[in-house]
Amino acid sequence: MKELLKRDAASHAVSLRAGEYSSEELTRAYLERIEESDGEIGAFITVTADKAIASAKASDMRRLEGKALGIFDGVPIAVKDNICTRGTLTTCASKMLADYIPPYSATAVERLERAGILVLGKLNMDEFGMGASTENSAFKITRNPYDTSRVAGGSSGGCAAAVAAFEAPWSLGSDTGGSVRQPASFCGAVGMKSTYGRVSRSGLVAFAPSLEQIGPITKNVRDNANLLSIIAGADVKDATSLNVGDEDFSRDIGRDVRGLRVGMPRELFTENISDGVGRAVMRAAKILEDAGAEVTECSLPSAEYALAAYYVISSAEASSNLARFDGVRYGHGSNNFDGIDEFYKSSRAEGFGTEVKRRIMLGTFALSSGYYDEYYKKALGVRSLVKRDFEKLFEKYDILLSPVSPSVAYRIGEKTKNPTDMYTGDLFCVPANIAGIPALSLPCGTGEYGMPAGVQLMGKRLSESLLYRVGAVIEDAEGGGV
Amino acid sequence: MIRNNDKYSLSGAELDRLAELAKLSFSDEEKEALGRDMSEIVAFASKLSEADISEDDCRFDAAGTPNTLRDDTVREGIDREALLASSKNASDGYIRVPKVIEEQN
Amino acid sequence: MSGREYEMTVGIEVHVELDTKTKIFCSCSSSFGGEPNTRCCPVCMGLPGSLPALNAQAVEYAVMAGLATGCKISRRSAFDRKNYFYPDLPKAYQITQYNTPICKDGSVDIETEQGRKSIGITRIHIEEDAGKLIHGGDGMTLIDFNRCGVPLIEIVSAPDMSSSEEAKAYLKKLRALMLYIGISDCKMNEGSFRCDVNISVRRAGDSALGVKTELKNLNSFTFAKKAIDYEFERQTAIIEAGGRIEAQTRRFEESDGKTYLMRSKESENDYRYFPEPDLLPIELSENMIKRISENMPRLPDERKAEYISSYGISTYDAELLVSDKSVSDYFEACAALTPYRKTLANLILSELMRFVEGDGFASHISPSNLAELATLAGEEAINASVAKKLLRRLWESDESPLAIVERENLRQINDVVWLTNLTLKAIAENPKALSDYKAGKTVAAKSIIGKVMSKTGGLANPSLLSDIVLAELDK
Repeated sequence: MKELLKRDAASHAVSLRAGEYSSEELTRAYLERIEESDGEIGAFITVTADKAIASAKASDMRRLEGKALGIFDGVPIAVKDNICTRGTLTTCASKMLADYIPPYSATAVERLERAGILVLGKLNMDEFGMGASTENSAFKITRNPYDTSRVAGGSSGGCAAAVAAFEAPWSLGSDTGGSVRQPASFCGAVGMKSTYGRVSRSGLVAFAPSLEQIGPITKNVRDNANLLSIIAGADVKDATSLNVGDEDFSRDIGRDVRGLRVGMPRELFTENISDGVGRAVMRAAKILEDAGAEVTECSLPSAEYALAAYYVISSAEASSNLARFDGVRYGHGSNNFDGIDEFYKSSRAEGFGTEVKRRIMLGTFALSSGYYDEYYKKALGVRSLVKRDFEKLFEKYDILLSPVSPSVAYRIGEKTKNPTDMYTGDLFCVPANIAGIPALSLPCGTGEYGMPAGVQLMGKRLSESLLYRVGAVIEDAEGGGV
Repeated sequence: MIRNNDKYSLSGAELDRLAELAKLSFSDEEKEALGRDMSEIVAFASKLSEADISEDDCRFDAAGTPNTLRDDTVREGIDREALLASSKNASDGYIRVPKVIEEQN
Repeated sequence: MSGREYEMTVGIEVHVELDTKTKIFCSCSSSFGGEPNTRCCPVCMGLPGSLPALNAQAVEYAVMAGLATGCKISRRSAFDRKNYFYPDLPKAYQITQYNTPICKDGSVDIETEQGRKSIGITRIHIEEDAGKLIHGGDGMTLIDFNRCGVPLIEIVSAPDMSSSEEAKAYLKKLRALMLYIGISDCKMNEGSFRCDVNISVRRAGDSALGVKTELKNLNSFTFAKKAIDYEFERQTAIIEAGGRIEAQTRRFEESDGKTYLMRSKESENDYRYFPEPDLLPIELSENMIKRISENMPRLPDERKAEYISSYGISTYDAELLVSDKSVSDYFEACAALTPYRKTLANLILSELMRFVEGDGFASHISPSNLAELATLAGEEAINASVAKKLLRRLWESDESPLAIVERENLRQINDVVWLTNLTLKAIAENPKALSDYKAGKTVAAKSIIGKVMSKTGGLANPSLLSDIVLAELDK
């Protein structure tokens, strides 16, 4: 493997500027790496080699003319396959969209292009984002580069694996209930779920619109902050995007954490946490304490309901969002033409995988007459409760520290049998989505089986810069990101 | 739905009703597994009823901010060919589907 | 038929397409027609990943509709999704306002032969229109999404109407109001003003309402009235025969004037409404509502009151003038140019209305010409029959009525001496008329008046002439 593949995006930016290598050389190096290792890893669904090289050449030309679009012009990236890329397959890892080529790009992708960042290809995931292991892809399983018998996490498993396998310096995923943070932690990467509305959702194929955000997966905290700065910002196409002005989220990296109040919500330290994960979190706590922060235990009482609320709300929204896949205007259309109703049913039955159908059914149930009040409406109530609990906590604490997942990456096939068992793995991540607050996942040492273990930092709305500042302190103490 | 000390069971008829609403179809085998899984998830979700929440809490308010409005100015859309390119049912600028008789809505 | 023992209860839902430039959630043109699927984009075609962005003008128009119907405007309202599969609905859900409509609790006054009545408006909400289905002959249906996403408001009345006349009056009034505030072209043939009628029947005096049916495909006010009358008879007959009314949606068939079953309400979808997560609530500030209400055009009731109090026009005539905005606008344009508004109103209502529908007036006779004619008639410079004839000529040419009157000597003759001489001459030439009159046949006077009038070429002042003739005959 070429040495330059081990470098982070910021180093590439410096080298491109210094003329140490060209964007084309860099892009070809990643494409070769993908060629060489992705057969085993399975991170990519589509590799857009020709387009990437053409973009790289254009970038080199710009640089030659002194017209570089920004410091990251010419740096490659890979994008989760539920983020629309004009003219490039966007499958959501579903048979339903196996041939779907969108006629427009997501706003986040347009922002990458405006910064001169070029797309290497599209990354594997759990079908439509529903899952936590990338075992629910219609096309293939993504393997963990640290141990290929283990999962990469999910749903943005391809995103985390590609970064960990040196197939891309960084990637864009999406996080509905931990889908960026958990795979990042399984693969030793840094993942951010930003404040709801920070990043435009336009062009993100919706799973649960009120919960999800596009988010960066990177080798280290600084890259992550830089990538978020590029993709974040108000967008007229997304009514829920926040109009809070552009921000350089890396601005506070390097500041110390003296006097910061760190809370550890005891409800997020459940009995099923593995020793390795527990040790990682305690180590992070120790690092912060040693750096002058006050770390104390605290309470998030509504956490016990958050997971149930998450499954009800996300499934309810999904049942409605995924109704548009009816085989008429795009996507898999059945050959069964015996009436429109049969056409719908067979197209959908053939196009969707088991987990997707299960969630559509669950969501339909939660919204159907007779059950709406007891499930969907109650879940909205719990949502308010969780928000309130966080608001109260953030009066006393600057950030909250918790595990990302109860265990390190598990073996492929280990948890596919029982859906609720798989769901409980999301317990630590979903409260941030429910409340719309930012949460950062970053590695902190090694857990069981030599696998990476991660910790999660949560802050109040719009506190991303603070999370990066604190994350960088942990990262530095651990010897810095790769 | 049958309830019996935290045991929930969705009947076949109920699954059929939901599948009809969601325009999905299942084999008997699939239905059995689905019934089992869903009953388990629904039982888990029933925890929500224990939460201490008011009617006011149940209002939807994801972002807590009001809507931004768009100016009423026409912008060219995407040309028809590109929009219809993904449909296997497009012809002569239309999309064709099996005949629909009853008028809804 | 024992119709008198039964009474009907009618409520009406009207969908009005708003006359915005763009669709409700995207920047595609919302104008009618166009080559199929050429006014579309990822948003209105429901492509994966697309999101709605709400049109400010649609919100403002909806508020105007609420103000015009006396509704309370919600400071905060929100959107919901109505979920169902149908090929004209690309997202498989319609974005609408279910729980919190933008306007509610208003009323509209209607005028029928039974007098004035207030019809309650339960709510007005904003929603998106669906695409158009064209049923081909080859067993296939074609979809055109150009109309998909055009903004609509749905105006839901209370079940306050108890006859088809009231329903028709309500629809006419509502349409007039929408045209007055200029938020829609309200073309029923293009579907920009569509109504669904809910009707139930009960025995007179019963307090509980009967089971209602919903009537669709009512493409004109006349069809709506016919459908209601038919449905009343149909339901009454069923109850008379001891049957029960089923909750149904029924379709009106224009060709035979009957209603036919579309579907039973029991089989109706469970729409699974829930809050639309892609749109945040609409919040309207007090200032914004105030600004919209200050810019509201004058409404028919306000205009009517003004016509009555300032112009001395009768209530009946004033009502007729305001029932159509284009007529009222034309009347006002003319009224600004003549002090003889009653004469003007008469010319419009008794003559012009017979020629053509309201919209056509101004293009045929300019307001200044009609005002001039009204002045000539009002000042008694010409008599009524000349005025009528001139009106017909103005319809054809663009000449000034005054110029015609001068050139052709059409001024009314008010010369008492001359008219008396003509009268004496006529009586002398018609001794029988005089003897008949003296014998009590007063109609004989008319033949003398006619003779004199024709001698003047129809220009004599009719009331003056009549006075003179009667005076001479009585001598």
